[in-house]
Amino acid sequence: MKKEAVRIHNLTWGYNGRNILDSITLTITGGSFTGIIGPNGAGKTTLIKLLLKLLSSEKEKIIIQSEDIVSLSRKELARKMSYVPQTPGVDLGFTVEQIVAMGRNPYLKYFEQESASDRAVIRQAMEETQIFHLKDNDISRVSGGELQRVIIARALAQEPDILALDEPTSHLDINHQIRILSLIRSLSTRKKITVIAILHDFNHAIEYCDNLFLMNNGRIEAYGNPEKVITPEIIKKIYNLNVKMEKNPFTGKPYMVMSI
Amino acid sequence: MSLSRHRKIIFALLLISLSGIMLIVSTVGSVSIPVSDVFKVLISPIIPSQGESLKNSFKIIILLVRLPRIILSVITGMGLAVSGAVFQGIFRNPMANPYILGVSSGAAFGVALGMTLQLQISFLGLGAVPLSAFFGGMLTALVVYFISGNGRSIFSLLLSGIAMGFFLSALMSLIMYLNRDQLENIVYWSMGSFNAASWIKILISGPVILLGSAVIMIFSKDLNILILGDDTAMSLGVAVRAKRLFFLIISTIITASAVSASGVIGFVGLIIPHTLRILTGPDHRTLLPLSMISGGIFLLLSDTIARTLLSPTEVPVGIITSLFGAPFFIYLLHKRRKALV
Ligand SMILES: Nc1ncnc2c1ncn2[C@@H]1O[C@H](COP(=O)(O)OP(=O)(O)OP(=O)(O)O)[C@@H](O)[C@H]1O
Ligand SMILES: [Mg+2]
Repeated sequence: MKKEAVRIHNLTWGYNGRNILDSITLTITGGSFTGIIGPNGAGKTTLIKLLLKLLSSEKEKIIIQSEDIVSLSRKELARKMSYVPQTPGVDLGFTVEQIVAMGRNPYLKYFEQESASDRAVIRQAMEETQIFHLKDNDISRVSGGELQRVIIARALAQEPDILALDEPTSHLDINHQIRILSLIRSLSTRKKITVIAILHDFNHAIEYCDNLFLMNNGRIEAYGNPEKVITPEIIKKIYNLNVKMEKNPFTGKPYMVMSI
Repeated sequence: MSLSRHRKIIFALLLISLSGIMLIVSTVGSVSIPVSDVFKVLISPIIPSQGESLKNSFKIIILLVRLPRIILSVITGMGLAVSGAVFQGIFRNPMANPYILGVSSGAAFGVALGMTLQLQISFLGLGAVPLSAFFGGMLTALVVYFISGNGRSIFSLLLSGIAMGFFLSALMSLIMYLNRDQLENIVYWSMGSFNAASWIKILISGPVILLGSAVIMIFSKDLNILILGDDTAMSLGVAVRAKRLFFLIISTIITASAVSASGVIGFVGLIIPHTLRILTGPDHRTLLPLSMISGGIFLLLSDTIARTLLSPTEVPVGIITSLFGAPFFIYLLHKRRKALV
């Protein structure tokens, strides 16, 4: 029996009164790889930020591993969930390693230095994302794709139960797109991490996700396994695009092609 | 690891230079006193026999004039450098300085008002000037915080601070304009000086500044994370609003104490942390202690120049910090630019 990692119940939310999310209800199974897809401005980032308590919601709306996020402290939350934002800010002067090491913050007391086991976690996170060779570089002088991997490494160093990623592959070349998604996929299986990823590439969503939520105008339009969500009818309705589903000869999974 | 040992060595070296410089500059002044005699005066409370052969005037000059001044300038420099580093971190802006929330203009306005009204108050041995400076500064920072929407965003806080600074400067100019007999006193105070240093001032601002800095350093890891922006900091487990307020309060108290003890001394809180950021990187666990000691050394040297350059006249120390600090800073930026190419 798999445990529930996230439960959102009838969440309606907006910036300054304008509703962005409209009665969202969903549950996410522990250890699954869940994708969130949908057009620009659908409310995907807003939903993830609410989940991480970066925006404040009411009581009893968002439950993480049977606990209401409203009653959890930032530190407690940061040990359960980590976040790879859509546009990570960088600050001059920190090295790659220092940035990744900040992922250990939720586990450290004030004034406490990282222990040997913290160091090992930091190192492993850098190795898995293939940025170890950059560890002494200034963070403001790495490429966009390298930066994205640094931020993912920091999120891994947090050793989360739930990993939330907002378009984690937007700056990556195709090789690293596949590498990172495969890494996240394998972490999800190996370490039973629940992955929630906002993705724009449908074929990635089909290949990697166990479950998909398709959002539009602040609502969940469709959910379930990828084959069920990504269909020519739904894509036509939401994106107004004509698509056809073929079969990926390498993986045997459906593959979406577009008529331009 | 090895890096932190490296830091400890630099820290120890700076601390030793600070003590050495304190000893050396206490020999210079209108009367020059040999180092050996200074040393004897310093240890005479512990070993009274050492004090017997000394001239009484030496004891008085060292213990009641130079030492308070030296210690106060070191402490003030430390406080301004630490709070400057904190403000630069919080505002994610290397141009930020301790006076960004209007503490300096508030303090100056308080002093101008106090002098004009000929305020006769005293508390814990402090007179009207330091008291009106401290409360003027604190009150202004509080008002700035509220008009910015309780520090909702660092940007509105910054703008509110600037607006309030202009407003209070205008009020102060008005007071000075209407009250020309106090003009010189007000202007002189606002340029900063340690010539009114006393043990009382040290006993009051010393603990405030040193304890405040220590508390900030305990939380320096959070300051590192705050630089990364609100969302990231929150997702890394930092309670951003509360922590930011905490840092703002402590560094404002430090700044107001420094200003209240010795007037508005510019530049220290800007260039010292900035220089160290260039030299050692943005990690506040290194930056704060190194800035603190460097700020102490810098202001001590500046004050020594201020009181000896045109002796027996004194130059306000705020003039010296900028006069000598600015060219050094430009040199550093220039060197840094070359290193980058
Ligand atoms: N800080 C904000 N203040 C006001 N409105 C906002 C804010 N952030 C986002 N919005 C609005 O909320 C809506 C949803 O934004 P959100 O960022 O959640 O979209 P998204 O689904 O992540 O889109 P994208 O695919 O472009 O990243 C948009 O209409 C956007 O304009
Ligand atoms: Mg988004």
